[in-house]
Amino acid sequence: MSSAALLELRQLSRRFGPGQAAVEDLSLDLSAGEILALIGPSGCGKTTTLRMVAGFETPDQGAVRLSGRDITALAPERRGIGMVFQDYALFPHMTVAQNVLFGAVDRAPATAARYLEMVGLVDYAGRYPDELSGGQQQRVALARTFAAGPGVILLDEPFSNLDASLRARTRREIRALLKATGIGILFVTHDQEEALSFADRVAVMENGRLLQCGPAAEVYDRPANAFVAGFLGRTNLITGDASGETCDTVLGQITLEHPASGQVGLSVRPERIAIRAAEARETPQGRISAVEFKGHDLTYWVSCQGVEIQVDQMGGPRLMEGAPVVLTVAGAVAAFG
Amino acid sequence: MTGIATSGRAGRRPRPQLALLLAAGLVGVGTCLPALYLVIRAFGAEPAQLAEIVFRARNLMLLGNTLALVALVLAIGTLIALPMAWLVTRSDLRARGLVTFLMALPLAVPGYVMAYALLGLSGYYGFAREWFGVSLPPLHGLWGAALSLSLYTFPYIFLNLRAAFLGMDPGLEESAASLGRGRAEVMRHVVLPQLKPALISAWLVVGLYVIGDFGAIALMRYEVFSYAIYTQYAGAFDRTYAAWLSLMLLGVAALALFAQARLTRSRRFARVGTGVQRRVRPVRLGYWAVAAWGWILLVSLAALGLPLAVLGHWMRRGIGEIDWAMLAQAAVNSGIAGAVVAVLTVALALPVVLLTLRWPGRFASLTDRLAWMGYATPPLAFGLAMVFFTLAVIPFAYQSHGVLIFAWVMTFLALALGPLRLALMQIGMRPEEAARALGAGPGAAFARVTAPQLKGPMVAAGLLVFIAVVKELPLNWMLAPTGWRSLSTTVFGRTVEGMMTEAAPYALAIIVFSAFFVGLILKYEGVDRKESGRG
Repeated sequence: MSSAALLELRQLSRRFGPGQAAVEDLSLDLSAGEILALIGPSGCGKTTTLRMVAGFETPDQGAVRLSGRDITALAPERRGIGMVFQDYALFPHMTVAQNVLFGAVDRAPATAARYLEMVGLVDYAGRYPDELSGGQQQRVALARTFAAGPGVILLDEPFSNLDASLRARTRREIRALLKATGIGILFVTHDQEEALSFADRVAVMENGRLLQCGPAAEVYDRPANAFVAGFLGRTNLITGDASGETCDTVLGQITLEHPASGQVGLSVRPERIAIRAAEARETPQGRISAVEFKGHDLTYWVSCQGVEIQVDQMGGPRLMEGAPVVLTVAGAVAAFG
Repeated sequence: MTGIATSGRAGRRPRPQLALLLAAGLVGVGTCLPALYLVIRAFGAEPAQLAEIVFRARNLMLLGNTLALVALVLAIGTLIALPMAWLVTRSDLRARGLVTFLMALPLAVPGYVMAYALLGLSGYYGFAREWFGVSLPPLHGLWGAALSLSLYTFPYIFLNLRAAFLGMDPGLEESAASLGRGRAEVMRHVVLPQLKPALISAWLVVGLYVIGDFGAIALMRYEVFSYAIYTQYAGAFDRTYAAWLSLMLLGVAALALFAQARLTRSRRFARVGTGVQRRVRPVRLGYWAVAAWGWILLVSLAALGLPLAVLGHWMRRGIGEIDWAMLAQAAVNSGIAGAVVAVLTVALALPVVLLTLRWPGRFASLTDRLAWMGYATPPLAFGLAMVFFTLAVIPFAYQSHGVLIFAWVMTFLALALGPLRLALMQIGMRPEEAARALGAGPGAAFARVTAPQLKGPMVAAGLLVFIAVVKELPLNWMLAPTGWRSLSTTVFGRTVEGMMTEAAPYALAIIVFSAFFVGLILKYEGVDRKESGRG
């Protein structure tokens, strides 16, 4: 909880009617120039959180602070927080330039040109939104938000309305653009790949609660629990008996990052496991029950003492279904609960 | 930390603006007032007299006649509208746009003009005898009233069914066909059940019209509730009995409203798929096209040709004696009244719709119901209540323009709710939220972003109300200031006296007026847009 944070969410709660709260006791910080992804399955409360930051929902409890100032009770238009909607919400009766100038501090025509230049759409100033492609509409929405000069920008599922072919490229372009402005970005997505590749830090939510928040690689490698591990990509969730630095599992003995004892949960990513055919005198750990050929890599499903283990392999000799194999986990693994 | 949680700044929800609440309050008062006043009047009599009035055998006869008329009008209307709606949406009929227009146009012909036409057709000086030499027996009573009402109300059923056909996912019909069902079976098991909500809500609108109509039934001298109220009010002047009859009529209308709500409750027939809807593959009519065109021709002739021909016939007889200045005055009166009421109604409807959409809850839905109750209240009952009310509470306002306009706004408010509601739902909250995130205040965001997109629907809603006011008779007849004559009161006043020639130019003026505006509504509601399947 550094006091240098640009945006601070403190113990936010929001309940719609009786029953489960949409958001409960959520605290988060966002620094200037940082991109933070709020990720979780649909209905986990991430959009409600975003709307509370924007001012479209009022929290039942808690506070939102921007640059140290409490803005919890402030109307959306007075917060200085920009929002780019999932469907972009461009005003259909205004041209692209008029859209960009809508919230601009400086309403000179040159302003529109400057911000459209930023997103590479300066030639489209006179067009109407319905004459643009999805990707272009999104960039206009970004330009419009930039022009209003916000301290923080919120993005709601920013890439979900784009074609898969367009998505990866747009993501790289927009990330570069956002990074160049130095504005703090909070964005919501249910797509783990998008969160990991786009954000500096990810915050994983489930049932209105924040489960874990940290740098993308950190959360991927050291999930706080089985849900976070499973949500951020394919993984093998196994249990083991820990004693000190080591842990006995169906994959044999695994080195732990931190000493532990007793029953622990482990998330072993398929790419962290090496696979090879068992030699004649070796006892195999399991047999291959299925092979999924995906072109540049392969996924083996290995049956180990009744547990199905996924193993990804790039290159190397291809093994057949039914083959007895030996599995080894590379490096130390973080344990949870 | 706990200091933040209990700072009291969180947890406060924005409340609806005062203007919205005031509008809702006005609707509540305006629509409850008639019922309240009727009750006060109705129970003003002696208990013995009350019992005698309530249990009069005549009431049962009136109820029976009213229900018989409603049933007959709905049957005839559906028989015309269902095949037409199917033809213009599912067949390869040519000129579907023209047929749609022809089938919507009878809306422009008010019931009393249709009754006038049917009356003018028969009888000794009638159109039929002079042109074809057949002296038709005078058309009176149930069949005369039912024909004149159904020939101008069937377009409501037609337009509703057409919209339902267009909104139906053709994929459902195709998948039913691919599951091995024949055309007739698909129609019966897939199409008709989906048409039910549209049909029921159209029946409600038409049924309420029939219950409340008084021009056509008065001319056809068919004894139903509204006719009895009219004779009690105008002739016998037994106002307690008139109040009781009005309450009974109101009860029938309320039952219809309740039945409709029950029958269509919790039914969702919206298309669930995504993407642009495909057009269904049209059915080839082949030789059946001849029969289809025959039916279209017959309906058009009866609903449009007949009134126009009869009017032309009577116009020809009296072309020299038309008092043009008086005709112009009546037209101007109708036009101005329609315009004023249309503007006021839309101005009141907008806050009501905003309230129901953005602050949903008990208060909002009550306001919405009451607006519909205002529409369902039979105009004669409404008018009578307003007469009682003004005489008792604000006598200086009796027969003033203000009271008449107020009654019209409350009656036609519901007409304006539909188009505005649909448009606001389609626009959604996103654009306004985006505007607010860009620094615009709530008022500015609505004015700059949502309002410009509402222009078309607001014009469409206003036009609907305008036509309704120009054609409206009972409220006009009861509440208009003495000496202030509109087109509709002049037509009725003269026809009822048998002055067919003198009434003709006014009736023609109403048809021309409304036909023009029906065309405009079809344009603003985007018939062509729907036709291309983009909804």
